[in-house]
Amino acid sequence: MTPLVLYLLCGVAIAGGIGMLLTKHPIRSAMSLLLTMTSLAGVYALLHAHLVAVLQVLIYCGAIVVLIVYILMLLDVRSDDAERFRHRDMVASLAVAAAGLLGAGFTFLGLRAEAALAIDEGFGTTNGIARLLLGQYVLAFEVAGALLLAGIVGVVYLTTREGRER
Amino acid sequence: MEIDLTPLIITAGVLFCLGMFGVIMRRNVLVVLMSIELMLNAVNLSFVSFSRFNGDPAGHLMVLMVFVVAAAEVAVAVAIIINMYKLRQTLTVDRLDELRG
Repeated sequence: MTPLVLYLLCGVAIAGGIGMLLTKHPIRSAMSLLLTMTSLAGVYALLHAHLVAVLQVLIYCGAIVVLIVYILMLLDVRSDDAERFRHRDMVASLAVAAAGLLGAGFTFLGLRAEAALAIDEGFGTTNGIARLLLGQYVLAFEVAGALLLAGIVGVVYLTTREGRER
Repeated sequence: MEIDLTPLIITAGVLFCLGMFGVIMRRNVLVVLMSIELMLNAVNLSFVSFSRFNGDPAGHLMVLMVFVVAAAEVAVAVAIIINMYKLRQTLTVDRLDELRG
């Protein structure tokens, strides 16, 4: 049962990605992206990555997509893509995408199908992740905090008129 | 029936190629931003899959770091897009050529 649901969610994620590319209006692209991210959260939950699944919903579906939709509404974006795609680049990018998929395919030929290794009790739970994050990987945790602070300062500087006129 | 690694990695590869295709092809700068998010999600999926199949939770930490970078990136990108829109009243990437020499 679980593998079927997992592969179904993978299919929904790919369908959402294709829909994001093909729809003309940006708000529909955002909704397709939301579909992709929500189904990926389901995939994470089925892969025992419980904390990552919750954070995927909170951060991607809850913050990033909402921010993009908010900007779409604030700027009152019409579907001003007169031609949906830049046709002159179509052949080149199709070739790039096909080459990427081909290279990935050759990599998969070298993969041996192996069963998943056994996982211990705390795998993917908040407790297990927090012990790693605040223990072995505490430097990465602090650097991430510094990066977010720099991002906040940069955004405030960019969006306030006083910052630029000074 | 056991979960197999290969379909998950194929899904990640297809999602990454779709995102790359969107970055190259679409003209709306917000859709380009969404395509970049799609590529980040594809990478996250491969991290979580390999983490599950190796029994090593360190991959989850990498995904958390990608979350942080993605959130900061979107915030800065949206601020830049708002400023560009104030300047040029357009979101089409071809017309945002302020830095062209």
